[in-house]
Amino acid sequence: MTMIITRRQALQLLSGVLGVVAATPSLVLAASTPKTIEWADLSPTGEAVLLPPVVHSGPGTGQPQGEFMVVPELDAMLVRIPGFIIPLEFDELDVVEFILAPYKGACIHVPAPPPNQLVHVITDDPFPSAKLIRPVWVTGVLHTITSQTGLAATGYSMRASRIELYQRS
Amino acid sequence: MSLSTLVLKSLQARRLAVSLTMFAIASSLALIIVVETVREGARQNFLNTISSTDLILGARTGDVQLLLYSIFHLGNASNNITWKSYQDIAANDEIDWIVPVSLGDSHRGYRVVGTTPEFFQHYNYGQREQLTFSSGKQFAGLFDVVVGAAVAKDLAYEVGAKLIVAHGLESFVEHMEFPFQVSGVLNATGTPVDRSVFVSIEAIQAIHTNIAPLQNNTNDLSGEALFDGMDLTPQSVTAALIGVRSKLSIFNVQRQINKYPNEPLSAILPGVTLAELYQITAVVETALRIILWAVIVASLLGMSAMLVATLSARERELAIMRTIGASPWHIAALIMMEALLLATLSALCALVLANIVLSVSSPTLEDRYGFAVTHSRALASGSSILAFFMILAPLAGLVPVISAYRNSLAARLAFNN
Repeated sequence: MTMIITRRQALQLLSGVLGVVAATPSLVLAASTPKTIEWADLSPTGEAVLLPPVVHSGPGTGQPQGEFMVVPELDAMLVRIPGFIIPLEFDELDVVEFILAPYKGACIHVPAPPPNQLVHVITDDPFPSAKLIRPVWVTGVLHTITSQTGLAATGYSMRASRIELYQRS
Repeated sequence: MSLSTLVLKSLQARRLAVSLTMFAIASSLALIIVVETVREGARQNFLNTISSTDLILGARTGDVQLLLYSIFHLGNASNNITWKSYQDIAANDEIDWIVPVSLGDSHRGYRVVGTTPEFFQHYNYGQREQLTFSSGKQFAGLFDVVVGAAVAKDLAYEVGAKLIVAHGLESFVEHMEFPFQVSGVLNATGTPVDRSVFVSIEAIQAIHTNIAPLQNNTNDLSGEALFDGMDLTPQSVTAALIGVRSKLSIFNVQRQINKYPNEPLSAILPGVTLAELYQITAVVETALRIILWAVIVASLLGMSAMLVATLSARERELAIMRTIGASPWHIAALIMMEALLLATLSALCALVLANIVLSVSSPTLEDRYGFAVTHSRALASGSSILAFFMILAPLAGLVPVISAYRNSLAARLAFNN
């Protein structure tokens, strides 16, 4: 049997071994392979606030309801997260700054997505505007923004190093 | 004599037919390069029309429509926003800056935009590029006006020039009473700003005031003095550009605006709406692309046909080469080299031709459509097309090569008889 392993597999293997050995596996992971996270992981309660109670009787408030704080452990962690691109800035034909959201469009009757369910991304890997309708995997170092001035300024930002089209695996 | 010099000499001997074919291929390739360059330029220009603005506020309407009338000055607003609503929205803590835009008047076919001096600071295009003045400065007085680069060029306006604003978009009803004076000229941006005339939002209010009663009270009819002490707070604005403090609160602010109880309002994210508009045009672009590829294939077929046609005329030449020792492979290589050389020369010729056409038409494109076509951009879109062409060229050479290979055998047989 030939022992051919790819670099990626080697890294996974390595991080797996180190993960067992090291006391803080997340730090080791941050240095090697990105940690794949879900939107629920961004919420301290572990619940993704994707579908708040729908009130179809007249306009609701614009403000998202409840407490929406960030998860401090995620700060400076290399993560990989799936989502939709909401473009903000273009460089020629590519998107260079966007908001990554867990879903696309939203029913007018529900509050806007809370800030801890959004990631403000500036990317080193510009994304072609022709592919904007597709969901993507975004890889990069996540940062938490904590603000004293208001809830709306609290959330996540990321410097993305890699964006690839989402494929269900 | 090496094979390559033989190819050159052979081509030289048939220079009329060869140069005509080359020119035919080169012109169709040049056409493709020009169309691609203009298309890319237009699209890029379009996506870079507005930058740094997080939200555009307007009366309740479609996203695309709001973007079109507020930024591109295409079509008209369905409704204005009352000044009261504007101020309510502006009071939102999450909003960093807000700039009102008042549309509806024109000056000799160019749109008049009523706004505040902050517009020149906050309206960004491209990659967060600010507007700059080529001469003069932003408006200070009530009847000061700032003109875009295309307006200044077309109407030969300089700082200090007087102009009159007309009501409506094309009109014979001019607000004759108030001549405006140019206080500044903006540099070209390749955006609708170039084709706009900017005045203060108070001036818009002033020119729509019924001044007949005022005129009776004073002898001084010259503009500003007339409105001294008068309240020129606008009653309504057409749209507003908004920057938020934190990008993450964009949706919050948008939702608050959409749910504003006193008036139906809407707010859009310009980036999202630009991308939506782009998706609509993408269908047309795909169609254009297919046509362009078809043109490439057609020109290659033309080259193939020309080579095959000359083969019969060169039967003797090839037969002689066979008798002096050239193998069928030599003949095949000869024809293939000829095809590749022809393709390369055509490609180079096309690049030169396309650049000439673009240089000639560039000022017109910039004037009429507001975007500059650079040679680097032409080279970029040209090189990918030409690379594709060069990959296909050997395939086009294959037909004459096979034909020559076979015919040379037939010729040999004929000589043996």
